[in-house]
Amino acid sequence: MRIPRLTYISGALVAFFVVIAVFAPWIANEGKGFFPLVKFGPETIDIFKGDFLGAPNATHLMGTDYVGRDVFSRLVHGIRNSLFFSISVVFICMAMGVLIGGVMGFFGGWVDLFLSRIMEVIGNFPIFLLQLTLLAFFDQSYGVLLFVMLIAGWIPYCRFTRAEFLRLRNLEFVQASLAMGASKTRIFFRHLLPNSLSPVLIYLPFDLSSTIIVLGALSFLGFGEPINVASLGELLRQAKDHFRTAWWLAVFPGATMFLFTLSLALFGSSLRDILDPRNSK
Amino acid sequence: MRAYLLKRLVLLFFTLWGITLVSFTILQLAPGSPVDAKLGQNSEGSLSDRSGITEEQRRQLMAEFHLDKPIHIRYGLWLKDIARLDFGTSFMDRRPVIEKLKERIPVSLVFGISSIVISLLIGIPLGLISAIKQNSFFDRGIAVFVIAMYSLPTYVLGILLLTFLGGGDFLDLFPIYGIQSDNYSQLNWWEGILDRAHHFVLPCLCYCIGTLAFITQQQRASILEALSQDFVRTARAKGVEERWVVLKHAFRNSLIPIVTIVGAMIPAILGGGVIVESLFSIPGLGLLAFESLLQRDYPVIMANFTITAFLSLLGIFISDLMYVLVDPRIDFEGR
Repeated sequence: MRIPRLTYISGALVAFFVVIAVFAPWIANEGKGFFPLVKFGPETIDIFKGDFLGAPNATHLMGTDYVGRDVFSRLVHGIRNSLFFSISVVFICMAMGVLIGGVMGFFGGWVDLFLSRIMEVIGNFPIFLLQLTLLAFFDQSYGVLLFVMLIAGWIPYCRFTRAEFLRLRNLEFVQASLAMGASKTRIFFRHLLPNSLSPVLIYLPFDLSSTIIVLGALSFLGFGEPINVASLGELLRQAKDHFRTAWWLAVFPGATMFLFTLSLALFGSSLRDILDPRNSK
Repeated sequence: MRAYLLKRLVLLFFTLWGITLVSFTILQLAPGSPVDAKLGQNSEGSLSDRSGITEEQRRQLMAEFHLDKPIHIRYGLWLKDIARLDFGTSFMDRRPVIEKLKERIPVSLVFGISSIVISLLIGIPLGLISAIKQNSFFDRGIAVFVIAMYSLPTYVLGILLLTFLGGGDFLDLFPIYGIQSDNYSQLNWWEGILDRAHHFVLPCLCYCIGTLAFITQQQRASILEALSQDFVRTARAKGVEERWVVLKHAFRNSLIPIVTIVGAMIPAILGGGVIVESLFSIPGLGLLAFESLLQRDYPVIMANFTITAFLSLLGIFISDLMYVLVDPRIDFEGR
C-alpha cells in the first residue's frame, strides 16, 4: 500500500515541533557558550536596550513583547508548555474515558444508564462558558486548568470505548474465553480493552490538536496558564492589545499555532486513512 | 409523533433544569463575594476605601441580592423568578438582566444565522464538486482546506485579520470596533446598511470558518452516500443523463442530513461567540458573558448559562424535528 506524501510532510512537521518542545531550554535560555543558541530566556527582560515592543532585528529575531522579553524565546517555550500540558490533558482524558466507557459497555444495566445520563448533562452543558467561569473564579494554576479541561474531555473516548465494548462483548472469542473460565478482569483487560483501542488511538492526534486550540483560547481570553508562563495564547493576547503597533506579536505566534495544529490534524487524518481498512482501495 | 415530541420537550426541560442547578451551585460555591467585587469596583478596588463601607451597608447589599440566605433557598427564589422570565437585576448597574439580554441576543443571532447561511451557500457547492470529482486534485485540495479550516483557531484568524486589515502597519480596510460607526445615527438608510455591512465582514469571516469546514465535509460525505444508493443506480439504468442523476436524484437527497445538522451547529457558534465578540467588541451574548464573568455579576452569568444551554438544546431538538419532517421514511415512534 502506498503511503501518501502528505503523511511524511505532516509527520516531519509534528516531529519538528516535538523536537523544539523537548529541546526548548537548549534553544533559548539565559547562558553562555554555544548552547543555548539564543541567549534570552522566556522571562529575560533585555535591560541593556530597554526595548519593549521592539521590531524584529538581529538580536531579537522576532522582536520583543510589551515588557521587553524576546518573542522567539517565549514562542519556543510556549510550544513546549502547550505541548507538554496538552499531552498530559489528552492522556488523562483518554485513561478516564476508556475506563468509564469500558465499565459502561462491560456491565451495562443501571451502571450504563446512570453514566449515560451524566454524559448527557455534561454533553449539553455550555462547556466553554463553564470553563471560563471556573477559571475566572479561582486563582490561575495548572491544577484548575487541568480540572476544567477534564470536565468534558473524557466524553468522546468514553463513547468510542463503550460502543466497541458493546460490539465485542458478544463476539466468539470473548464467548470462548468466558466458556474456558476466564475471569471478568482478564476478559476486560486482556481481551476487550486491547481490541477496542483503535478508534481511540485514531482520535488522539485530533484531540491533541483541539486541546491545544482550546488552551490557546483560554489564555487568549486571559484565563489560561498561570501568569507569566510563556504560551502561544498569551502572546496572541498581547497581539490583541498591540495590533496597531506590533505585527510580530500576531504573525509569528499565529503562524506557529496554525502550523502546529494543522500538522497534527493532517498527520492524524493521514494515519486514519492508512489504519482504517474501510478507506483502503 | 406527538407523543414523541412531548417526551423530547419534557426531557429538554429536565436537562435544562439539571444544567441550571449545576451552574447555580458552582457559582454560589465560588470563593469571593460579589458584594466585595461591587464595593471594590465603586471605590477603585483599594483596600482602605473598602473598609470605609460600614457593616450595615454591606449587610443591606447582601440582603438586596438574597446573598444572606442559604443556597437552596436562593436557587428556589431564582427558579421562581425564571418561571416568569425574570432573570433578576444585574449586580453591576442594577438594570433588569432581561433588558440586557434583549439588547444582546439579536446581535448574536444575526451573526450566527448569517454565518450559517453563508457557510451553506459556499459549503454545499464545494462539497458537491468535491464528491463528484472524487479523488481528483480538486477533491484532495478541498480535503486539506477543510482540515486547515478546522485547525485554524478563530482567535488566530481574528488577530491576523486585525493586524493586516484593521489599520496597523498594513492595510486599513475594515473597522474593527463594534457593529456600527459612532456617527451611525446621522447616516441615512442606505449609508447605514453599508456601514453595518462594513463592520460585519471581519467578525463574520471568523464565525464562518468552522461552520464552512463542517458543512463542506458533511455535504461531500452525504453526496457520496446518496450516489451509492439503489435509486441512483435505477436512474442510471433508466438512461438518465449523469448530470441529472447527480443534480436531481443524488443532490436533493443529500440535502436531508445537511438540513438537520444546522441546528446541531448552534452550540459551537455560541461558544465561539465569546472569542469573536471580545476580539471585535461586538455587543452580543458572548461579550456579555465575558464581561459578567470578570465582574462576577451572578444574575447575568446565570442568565447566560440558561440562555446558551436553552438555545443549544433547542437547536438539537429542532434538528431532530427536521429529520422527521424532511425524510418521511424516518419514524421516531419505532425507536
